[in-house]
Amino acid sequence: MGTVTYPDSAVINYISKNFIPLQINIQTNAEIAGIYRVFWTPTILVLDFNGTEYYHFNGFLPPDEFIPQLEFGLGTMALEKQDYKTATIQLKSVIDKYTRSDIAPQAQYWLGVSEYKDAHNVEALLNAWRKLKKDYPDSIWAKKVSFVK
Amino acid sequence: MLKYALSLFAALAIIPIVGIGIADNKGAPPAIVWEKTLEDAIAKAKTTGKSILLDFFAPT
Repeated sequence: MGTVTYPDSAVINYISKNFIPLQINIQTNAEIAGIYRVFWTPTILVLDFNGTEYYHFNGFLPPDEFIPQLEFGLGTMALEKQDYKTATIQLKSVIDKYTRSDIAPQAQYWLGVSEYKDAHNVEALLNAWRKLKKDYPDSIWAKKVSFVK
Repeated sequence: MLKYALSLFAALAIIPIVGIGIADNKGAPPAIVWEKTLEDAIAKAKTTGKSILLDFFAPT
């Protein structure tokens, strides 16, 4: 991460704009690692301003997959906080800007949920999931909505 | 004298190129500025309203 992803200018810009970045050495901070149940590195977490975890992933990712993961993490956080308008914007952004990223099918799944929760619009949910089946037919997320006609 | 003139010319040629590079960065820092403690990160996050990106690493 330190030699490929973090020096990338797009990653620097994205993190500087959207996050307070915090780096913790797992070997010298076992207590904090324990709080967040971290047992492997790299482990990346998205926390809110209180330090509550909302999203995490493990392992190296290149910049073109790392940034969509962070954007998805912000969308997931907004969704769990029931801020559906923000969640919809963030998840749409993942799909529109990073269409071929590996996280895009998952974003499409949760976009449907966010739109449904926001307006209790069943048709919006079904349309989002139909798009998921059409655009990402080989993903496990398409299998999760395979019952949708 | 010729050497001095050539150096000046080279400097004038390089400055605009460097300027373009800086302009493209749009005010972002040249590297990620990491916080070192959770307490500091939470304090800054509360001030700015931003979320926290926490990277657990092991030195190699």
